[in-house]
Amino acid sequence: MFRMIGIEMFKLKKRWMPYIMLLLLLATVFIPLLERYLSEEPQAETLVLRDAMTSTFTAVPGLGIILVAILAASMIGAEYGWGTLRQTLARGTSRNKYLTAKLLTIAIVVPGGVLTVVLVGIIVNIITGTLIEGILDWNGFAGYFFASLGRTWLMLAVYMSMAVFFAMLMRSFATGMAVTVAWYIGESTIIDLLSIGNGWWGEAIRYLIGYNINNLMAMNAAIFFIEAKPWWQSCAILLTYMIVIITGTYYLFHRQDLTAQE
Amino acid sequence: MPDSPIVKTEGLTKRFGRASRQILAVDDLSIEVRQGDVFGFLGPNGSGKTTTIGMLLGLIRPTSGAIALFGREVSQDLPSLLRRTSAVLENASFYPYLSGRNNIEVFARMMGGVPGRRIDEVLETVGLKKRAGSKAGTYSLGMRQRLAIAVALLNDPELIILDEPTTGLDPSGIIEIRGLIGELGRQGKTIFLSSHLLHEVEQVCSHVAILNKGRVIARGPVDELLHRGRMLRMRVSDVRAAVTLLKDVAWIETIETEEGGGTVFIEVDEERFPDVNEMLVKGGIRVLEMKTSEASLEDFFLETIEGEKGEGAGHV
Repeated sequence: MFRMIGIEMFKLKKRWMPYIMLLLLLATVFIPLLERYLSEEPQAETLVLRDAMTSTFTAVPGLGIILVAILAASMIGAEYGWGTLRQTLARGTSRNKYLTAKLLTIAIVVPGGVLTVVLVGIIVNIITGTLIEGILDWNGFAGYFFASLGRTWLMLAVYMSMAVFFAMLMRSFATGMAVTVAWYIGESTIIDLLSIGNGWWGEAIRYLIGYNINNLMAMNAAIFFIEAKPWWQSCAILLTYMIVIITGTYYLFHRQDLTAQE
Repeated sequence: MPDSPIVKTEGLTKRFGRASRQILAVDDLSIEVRQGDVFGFLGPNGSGKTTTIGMLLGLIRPTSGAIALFGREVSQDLPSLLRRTSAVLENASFYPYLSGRNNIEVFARMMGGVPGRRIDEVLETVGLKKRAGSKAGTYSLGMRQRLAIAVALLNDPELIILDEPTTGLDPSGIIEIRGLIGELGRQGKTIFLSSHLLHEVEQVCSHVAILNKGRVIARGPVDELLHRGRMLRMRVSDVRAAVTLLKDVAWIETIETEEGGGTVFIEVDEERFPDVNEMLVKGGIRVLEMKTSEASLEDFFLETIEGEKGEGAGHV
């Protein structure tokens, strides 16, 4: 398994895509900071690091979900398109091992990327905050940081598993990515529409992926709704979705005929 | 199990699609490939060759039937059986953003235990050493095919499955690959070669199976099949009298004549040649020339496929 993960890492390392994605994510951290610190009048005399990090923990999952959908769909779907999946399996790699190595590689790379971006965000905030505002307030930072990081990873993991599932089902990078992104955007629209009124659907939407993602995203942004689900309920729902999607992926992958005309 | 076949299929069947619109790709296929055979798997396009290879390699699930490699059912432990096998699949595909060498490295790491110098050796063998640093996406079809053969040779496999290995190669490349297959055969490797290039198969294969519409319609050692198609060609003084004399002889299978050429062709066992000659002479027919006409695999293939068209109408 370690050998297969090593191979996946090697293949990923040689591609431009992950580096471009990392740069895009870093841009989401730098741009709000630049806006803030280039403004003529500083916002506060003391920089509260917890508050300063909310923009990072809102922007990273927001854009991150789309980037993760692209990366995960590409890692699975492109192998169908190139025909390398057949070559790999014909060399005696079991389907379980192959899929597990892919999932674990994404599960290592994505949190690694998020952690890098968030740490860069902290460092930049500390430097600019100290330089401009002079005083740095660390109060409440550690709890918020670890909770937000965990929530961000979970949000990305759900869409990662969804992108893997659709790319595998459709045997295509482009279709897998498009369906996942369409799901992400489409579900938000449906939630907005159904949240008007008080029918049974008002309760039903609370079990949709998008609703629970929004809930966790609001916690990252330090916005708390009275009617929102507790964080652990949202996490449990998202974890359930993830387990179902991944189980479905393994099941379908085992049953798939890999013909030459992919 | 030293005597068990390297490849064995029994009643192998594959249907694609749902019940109402099913396509029968492979129909009750039973073949055996023994150790050291260079086995030619022939058939027109769409006859089920690639589907069969896909099932041998675990890429396609059979609808029914059994497959054994090295005497063991593939359902028992396919990955370990495939590690003793190498395959060059049709339309060889690689990571386009990796160099040829990087691509080989990926597969070498996957297999494990391949020394670094082996990569140089296989690149040398297939003549790709100078372009090893170029991205595989820039390779021609022929170069990709060579790269696939290089990968197939990495782990010194016992069984090599080749699906149209000379596709995209120029004539000199075809000759090189044919030579390589012959060399591997001489080394005692078992080779399963799917091809529609009959001349190529005739030159390198010891055994063949001919597939049509998913079914095996002929199989056996190449010499035997060609012998089956071998005709005795005779130039005689009176063609009509010769045909009348020979047509009711039980051990003569086929009689054909050449329009206006005074020649009779008969299909008969070699040991009966003197008997034929004696019969004609006793019947007052002068035999001016007598020789065997060698059938090529191409003749045999076309004849078998044509015969099947006549008999097998209505097969799904």
